[in-house]
Amino acid sequence: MTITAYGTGAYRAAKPNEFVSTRAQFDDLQRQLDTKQRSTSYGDLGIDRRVSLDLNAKVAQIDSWLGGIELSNVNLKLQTASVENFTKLTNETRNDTRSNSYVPSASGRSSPQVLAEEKFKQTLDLLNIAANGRYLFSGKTSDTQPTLGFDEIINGDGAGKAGLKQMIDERRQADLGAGLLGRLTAGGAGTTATVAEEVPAQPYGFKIAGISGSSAALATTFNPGPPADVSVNVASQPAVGDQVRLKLDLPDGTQEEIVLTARATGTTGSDTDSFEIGVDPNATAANLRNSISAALGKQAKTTLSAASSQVAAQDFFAGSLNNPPKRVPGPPFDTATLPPSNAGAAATTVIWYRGDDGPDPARGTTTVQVDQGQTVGTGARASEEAFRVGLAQFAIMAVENFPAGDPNSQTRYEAMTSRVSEKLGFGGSTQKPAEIITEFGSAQSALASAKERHQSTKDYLTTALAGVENVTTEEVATQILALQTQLQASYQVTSMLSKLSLTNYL
Amino acid sequence: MGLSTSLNTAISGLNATQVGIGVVSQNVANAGTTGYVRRAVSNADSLSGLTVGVQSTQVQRLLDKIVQHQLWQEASGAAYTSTRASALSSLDKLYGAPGSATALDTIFSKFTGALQSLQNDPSSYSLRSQVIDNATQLARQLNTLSNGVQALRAQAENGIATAVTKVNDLLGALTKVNTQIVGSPNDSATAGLKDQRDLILSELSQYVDIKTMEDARGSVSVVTGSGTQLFDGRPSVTFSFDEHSGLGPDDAWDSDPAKRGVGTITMTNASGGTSDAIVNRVFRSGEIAANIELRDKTLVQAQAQLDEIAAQMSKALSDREIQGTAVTAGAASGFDVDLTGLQSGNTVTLDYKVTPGGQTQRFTFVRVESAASLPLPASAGGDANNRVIGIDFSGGPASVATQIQAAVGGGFTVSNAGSTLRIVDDGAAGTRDVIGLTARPTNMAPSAAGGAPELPFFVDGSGGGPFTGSYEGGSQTTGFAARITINPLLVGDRSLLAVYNTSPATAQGDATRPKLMLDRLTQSQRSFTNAVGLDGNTATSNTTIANFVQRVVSSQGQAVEAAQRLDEGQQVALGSIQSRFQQTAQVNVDQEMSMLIELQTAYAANARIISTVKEMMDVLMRV
Repeated sequence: MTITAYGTGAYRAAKPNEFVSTRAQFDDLQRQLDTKQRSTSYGDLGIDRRVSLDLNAKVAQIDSWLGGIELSNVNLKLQTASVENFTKLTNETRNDTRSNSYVPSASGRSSPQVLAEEKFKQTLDLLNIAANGRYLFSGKTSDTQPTLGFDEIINGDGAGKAGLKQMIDERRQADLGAGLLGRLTAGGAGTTATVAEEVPAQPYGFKIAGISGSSAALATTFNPGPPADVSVNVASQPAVGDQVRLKLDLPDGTQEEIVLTARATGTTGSDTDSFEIGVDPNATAANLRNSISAALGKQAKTTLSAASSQVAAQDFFAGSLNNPPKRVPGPPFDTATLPPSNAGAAATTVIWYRGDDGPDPARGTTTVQVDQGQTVGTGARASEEAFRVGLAQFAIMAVENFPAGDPNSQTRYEAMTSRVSEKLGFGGSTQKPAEIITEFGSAQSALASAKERHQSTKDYLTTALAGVENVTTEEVATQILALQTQLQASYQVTSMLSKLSLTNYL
Repeated sequence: MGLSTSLNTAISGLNATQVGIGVVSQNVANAGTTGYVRRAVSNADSLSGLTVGVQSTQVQRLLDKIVQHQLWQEASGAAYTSTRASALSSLDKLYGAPGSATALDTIFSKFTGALQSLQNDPSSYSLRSQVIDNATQLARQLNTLSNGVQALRAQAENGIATAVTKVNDLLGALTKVNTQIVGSPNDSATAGLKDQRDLILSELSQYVDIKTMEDARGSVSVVTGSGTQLFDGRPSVTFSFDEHSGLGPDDAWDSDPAKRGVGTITMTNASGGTSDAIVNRVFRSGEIAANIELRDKTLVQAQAQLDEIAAQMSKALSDREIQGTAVTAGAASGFDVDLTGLQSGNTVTLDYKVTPGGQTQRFTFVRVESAASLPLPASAGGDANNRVIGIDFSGGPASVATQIQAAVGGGFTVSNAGSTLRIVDDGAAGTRDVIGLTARPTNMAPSAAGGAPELPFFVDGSGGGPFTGSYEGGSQTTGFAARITINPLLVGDRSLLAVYNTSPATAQGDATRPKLMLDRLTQSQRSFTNAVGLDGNTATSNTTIANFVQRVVSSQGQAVEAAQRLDEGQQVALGSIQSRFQQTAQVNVDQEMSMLIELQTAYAANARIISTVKEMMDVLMRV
């Protein structure tokens, strides 16, 4: 610190002091010219310092918004591409599973099935996509890979945790029941044929929805239960072509109708869709009983089997860490009566989705703040319904086997493909992949408009800030020039005055 | 009148002219000497017998006494303003260049920007590291600023020590010169002594504001602007200063020597009595006064502002807000709030309305651990609408309720059930409405089972002690800016920036905590005690931390600018007094030369008279 001398003698320093302070101004202007900065501290900035502070804070804020937008844009594009690819895969499989496409093969797997396995693997890869070390389909746990590998999902971990294959098998056993008739019993005596659900009532296998006879000869009764039972009384000999129609509800929500048509005595036909009129109503009823058993047996092996796969796969893919998949209690499974539950399932079942499974919407799991009050949701979970449905259908296709020698193979294949095709149509209230794409799209456009807005605000603010903090070269140059002239003149006059002394003239 | 008379007169004229030429040569020779005042000879007629002659009576110093006194006063004013301006300007530089990476507000913006990025992707390791890095930088910057402020205080302390020594030396030197002046006749040698005396006084005026008086013998007496006699022929007082080294934020001046962390100036008078010059406000202007003000006021305020930033930032991130649950007791309605977890220094606020038509008012109760910490220091703040009251928690919950009841007075009923505090209004009487009761306990653990998103992000000192704003043995806030560091647990485990709950475990990508941190720093309105405004603002104000940081930088800049403007003004005033002083006191060589010519001519004329007298005498002799 220097204190200027103020003593009585200090006046001698007055003039040089003026030169020094002008020189200092000169140096400051030179610094301004070099740095383009008006001042080096807030104190020197004058009244504009408040503006500078405010604008600097705003620019910093906008910069961080812009940074967030930039990063999210990349993620959103990757996410959208993933979902678009997934949509393509589901469409292809849907085309592959049109009706009457069964071709027996030595391996028991048709080419659409082999393809479905690849698509399943590909979908897992799409859902496991990571950007910047962040898994994009894992909800809030963006550090966790959202899905397990193909083998573990299908076959289990080999250390006590069951995979999808085992779950389908268990469900199938439970639905089929010990009597192999889909938990129904067929019986009757004399002129009646009866079909009854197992007692006590349980949630597996077929559920009887109704019965009807086409003529008075085939009188039907329906006790809705539960457990429900029906009976047909052959009151008199039916005419050829008379029908008994038995409606069955399947566990996956579909309905099958068994139609048994009376055929003339002496003719041959399949027991699964007709019965021979016997010599008397008692004989006819006996034939009808045979026919009912055969038809139920076939449905249980075909449509019920396909329905079991659907239900099991749906349960399996609905599982998450906090909500393990529901499993059929057992073994034994074929006599299970309690509904599927997830008690203890966490320890015994592979959980395919490892990410977060909170109750909040998937989009809300990752948000980008793009403005003071505007946040855009860009999150996604691999466990969203559209992905679950797709994965379940691919998996069902992949794990089923249709031996060429099995007479039921074709029907079972058709039962499977019709269900797969229907599910992959994402009908009704099912979440469609297109919905996810639309939501990403609107997020992207929100980001884009926010970016544009911020960019223009930032441009304006930067200009305003430059006006406060910076100097123009012209302005400084002019000031330097003025100061230079002033300083030169001052030097010259001082030098002239100092020469002008009477001493010179004595 | 005879020829001899003319001869005598001419000879005395020659003598006078010689003295005049002597003075002119002295003036010319000393034209560049500091403190030299131009002299002139005054001549008078003398009559001895019948001879009329010219006598050089005395050598006069040509100066304007009034202007000289003004000059000394302005000099002490200028020393005061320039000391202040220079210290504040170095403080200003510490805050960094506008918009630069080292500016405090930029560093704060970077920290909030990093949090902003983190909330978009809380699981990212690099974004977490960015938050930690920027927070560390912010804490360091606050440490640096705080150290800078304390260094400036130490410099002021040292400045006082040096100045006090110098003042004593100057008074000693003045004693010698003054004695010589009194003992000498009034000739050109005395004029030199007086020049020297004035030089000493002018130097003295830079340290202390002084007034002087000169008696008939030429002896001066010096009193300060505040009226304390410093010198009267000999020093009336001597000063001493017990300089302290290594000043910290908690070292403050106090009239009680036991509480004092900095030095004070002691005056000892001739009879050996002592008194404290700072208590008696002896120094009102000059370098010493400026340094005292810097050390005890301006820089203390600058430190308090930094402490407020650090404390508010730390508490904003760590303090939970537990709103009371509404209860009714008969006609009276109010709130219950659980005080569990309240740490020393944590607050409970009661918002109420005086009805009908009153505005919302607030009581803030602060937890202290012993009665020794009461009452709270002035820095605890508060105003008419927000009374801040310390409550001693050592006596258990019932005693707390009793103390609160005593503090809020009538119109409220305060009770407790275990640690739950209940405050209800006066029901049917309807003179008070309780609007809210909120406890703000500091969350001590970054992550726990059932943990809260608030976290002890900043801690007190490298030891990692929690910051709760306690008042035990002095306010924890004082000097916190120098000690604030980021919680080492966070540096060790960055996942704590997202994971606040261990059961059920928070997802790594959960944005709750980053969002809360950002909101608390940039959106939440907080109450700033602001007993400390550099700009003189003492009212409690509600604003966001981000705004407060800007306000601190801005008011800092404003204070610097004001000090600089004041200094510039003072320099102008000093300059104009200097030039007025110069008009009379400065040696003008041209003037001296013309005087020389005049004297030369007079000398020649006198010589001519002598030669004429000689010729006449010769003529007379030849006759």
